Amino acid sequence: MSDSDKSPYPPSGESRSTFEGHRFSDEGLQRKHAQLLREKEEPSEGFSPMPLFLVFLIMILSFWAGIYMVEYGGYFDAFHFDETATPGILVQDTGPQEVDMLALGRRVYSQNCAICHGADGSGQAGVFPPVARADWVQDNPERLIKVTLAGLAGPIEVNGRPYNNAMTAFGRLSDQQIAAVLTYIRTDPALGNNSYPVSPELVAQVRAEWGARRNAWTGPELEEIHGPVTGNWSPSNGSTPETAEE
Amino acid sequence: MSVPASIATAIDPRTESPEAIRVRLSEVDTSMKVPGVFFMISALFWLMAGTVFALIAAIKFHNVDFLGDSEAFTFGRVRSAHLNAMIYGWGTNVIFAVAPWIMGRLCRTRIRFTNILVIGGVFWNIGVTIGIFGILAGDKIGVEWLEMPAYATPLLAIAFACTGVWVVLLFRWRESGHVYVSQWYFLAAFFWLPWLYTIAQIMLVFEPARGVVQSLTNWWFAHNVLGLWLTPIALGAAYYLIPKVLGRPIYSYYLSVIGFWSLALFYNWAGVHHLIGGPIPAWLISAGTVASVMMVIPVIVVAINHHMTVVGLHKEGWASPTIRFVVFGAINYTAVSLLGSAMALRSVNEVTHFTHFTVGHAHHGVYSFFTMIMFGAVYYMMPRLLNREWPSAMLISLHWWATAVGVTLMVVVLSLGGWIQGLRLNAISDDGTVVYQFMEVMEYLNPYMVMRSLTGVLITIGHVAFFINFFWMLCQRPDPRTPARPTLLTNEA
Amino acid sequence: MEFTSYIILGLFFSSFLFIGAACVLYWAYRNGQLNNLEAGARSIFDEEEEPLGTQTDFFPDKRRKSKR
Repeated sequence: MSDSDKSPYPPSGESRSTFEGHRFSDEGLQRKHAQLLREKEEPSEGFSPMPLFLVFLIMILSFWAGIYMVEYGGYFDAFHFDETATPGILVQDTGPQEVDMLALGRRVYSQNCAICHGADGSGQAGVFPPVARADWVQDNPERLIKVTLAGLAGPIEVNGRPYNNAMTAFGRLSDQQIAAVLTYIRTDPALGNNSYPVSPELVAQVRAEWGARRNAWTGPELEEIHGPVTGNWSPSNGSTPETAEE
Repeated sequence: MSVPASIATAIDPRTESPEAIRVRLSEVDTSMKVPGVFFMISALFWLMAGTVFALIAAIKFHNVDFLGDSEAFTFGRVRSAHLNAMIYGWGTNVIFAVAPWIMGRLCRTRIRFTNILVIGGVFWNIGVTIGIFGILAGDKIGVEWLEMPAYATPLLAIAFACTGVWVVLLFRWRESGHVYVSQWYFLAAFFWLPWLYTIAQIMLVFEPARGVVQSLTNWWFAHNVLGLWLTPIALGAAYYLIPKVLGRPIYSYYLSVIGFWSLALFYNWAGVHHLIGGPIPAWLISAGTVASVMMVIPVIVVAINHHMTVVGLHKEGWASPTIRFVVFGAINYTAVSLLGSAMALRSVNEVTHFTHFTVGHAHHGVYSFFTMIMFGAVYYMMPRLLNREWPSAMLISLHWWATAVGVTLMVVVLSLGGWIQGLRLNAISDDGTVVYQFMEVMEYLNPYMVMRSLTGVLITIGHVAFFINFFWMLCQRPDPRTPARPTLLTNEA
Repeated sequence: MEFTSYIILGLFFSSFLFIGAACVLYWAYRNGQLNNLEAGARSIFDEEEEPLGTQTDFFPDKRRKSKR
């Protein structure tokens, strides 16, 4: 084989019938052996100095380590969990915060509703009704609150199309979260709905009245209470108390 | 004479004459034959079992219903079964085959009481089997890397003691003046693992620590099984095999000493970086980050040493299966460790945490580095133990190409997918909402998961080639003309 | 409080390890293990069986080909 001829350590040609006996008669091998020995015996005390760059590397890393521990050491305090915080300065109480209902609603929607109703609110034909440009959404808010609190099951019609599935109850959400998400779907221009906002007080009121209900609502049940879905509800034409208004 | 006294005499090197202690390498090989073959057979069966578990778990990522009806093969169990089969089944068994053999050769002494070694090995494998079945039956403990149920672990501890003690005792019989760096690594590893395992068992299983101390102990243990058990063994093997196969001494022995002691100093701190972002005192995490970055020192030292030893002898190395695997492993040690140091930085970890990047990194470390070096060691060891040649060069080539390409692709796929996954999971729009829904990110990752399964199939092909080659070798009848010494050194003509 | 007690316990156990490591390093120094390091690097070779300067591992077919 050609490459084994060129190789300094061939798996041997004919010259070595037994490896042990003829080891030192192989000239190439001896030469290489000598080279290697020479190469290795230069440092007289058997002590090769450390490469200079390695010394620098160790120095730089140690320096960095010291800086890092001072900077992010958390003052070596067992109860200091945020490496960037300074001790003694607690988060200052600036009083009650104004909540942006649209932003909160968008977050609640993306965490709870978007899985079925879609991030753009388009739903899925026959299964998940849309919330974008939907008559139900622009109708009486109490109907929506009831659905959100206890869920909805069975056939319904949205925008004239039939849907038949079960929606989970979201009673675990707070009044403010439910008000925010309903405000978001009713007023956000991206979803194409143009209706009135929903206040947390209204949600609290409906929850007080219907919160004990465990089984999901059905379409006909809701229709019995609130009448048919029209899609053009307003505080003036609906039978809703004033709390729905801001 | 009482029993303890006779045991003490039996393991006392002074009772044997010096001539009986210093032996030829081939005698070391002969003494290791039975335990070596036993541990290799066990290791190979665990390797195949672990591969099957890995494939099932990988397929579940893009085909969720796969084996979904079977309780034992739900993802949570199969993944843990895969991990434990690989670490305690394959990894530790192959270490029990390779480490005593290299240790014996370096100590210039035959391996004594091999039947106790084998008995320890039998109990170890029984323990691992009970543990894996326990995991599949749903008894696993919710501590990563320590999932085996509590009824399997005492058996494992005793079996490890029976087996590991011989590696340490070999050192007592050493008949070579100098203690080579591999011996340092092996000795340290065989002290470290029992220490790690005992503390982890006590603090996590039998008397669980409360609060965040539990997760701290968990990650201290899990990272150190890699860092203080698999890593020193693989490095020790590489330090022995690379110079040995190429016939050229290690480039700078001085550096190797620095490498060993800096690894001993820094590695056991590093595990805390798994808890970045958790409710852990900030200074602990910072200390873990610093130690992880300081690991650059031993890594660079080992990289220089291994590279400078091989440099100029690439063609010779390519002609040796051992060197192919070991050098691949050594290169990946450098790569995976430097990546690991980078991943311990808080800003990087924020992206990679809880993503497939970490999974890729784990395979990079345990497979590309540790397992590949062990494959190389087995290719060197088995012909010497059995006085037989590997039957098929083609199967060795297939094994090398399939595993090297497979695992490299897997690491690339998982790192890339994991990085994008991390960026998308963290992406927050201006109004504080997430940009990508969780499900959107998962759907995006689907092609990556399919790719991961394909690379797994490639690796499986390599393992099957290795499996066939190994048992083919065992079944071969030894060549009567071959003298009783390492076959690879003698010319059969 | 509990955390502090764990830290103390951890320090207690790890002190064994550090003292052990220090003892081992001291032993290595006293034993002359750190003296002639380059000779140590050659201690793995064996003049009779696997000598310095000889490659000791090949693919099986390479060796068979060279035999012919």
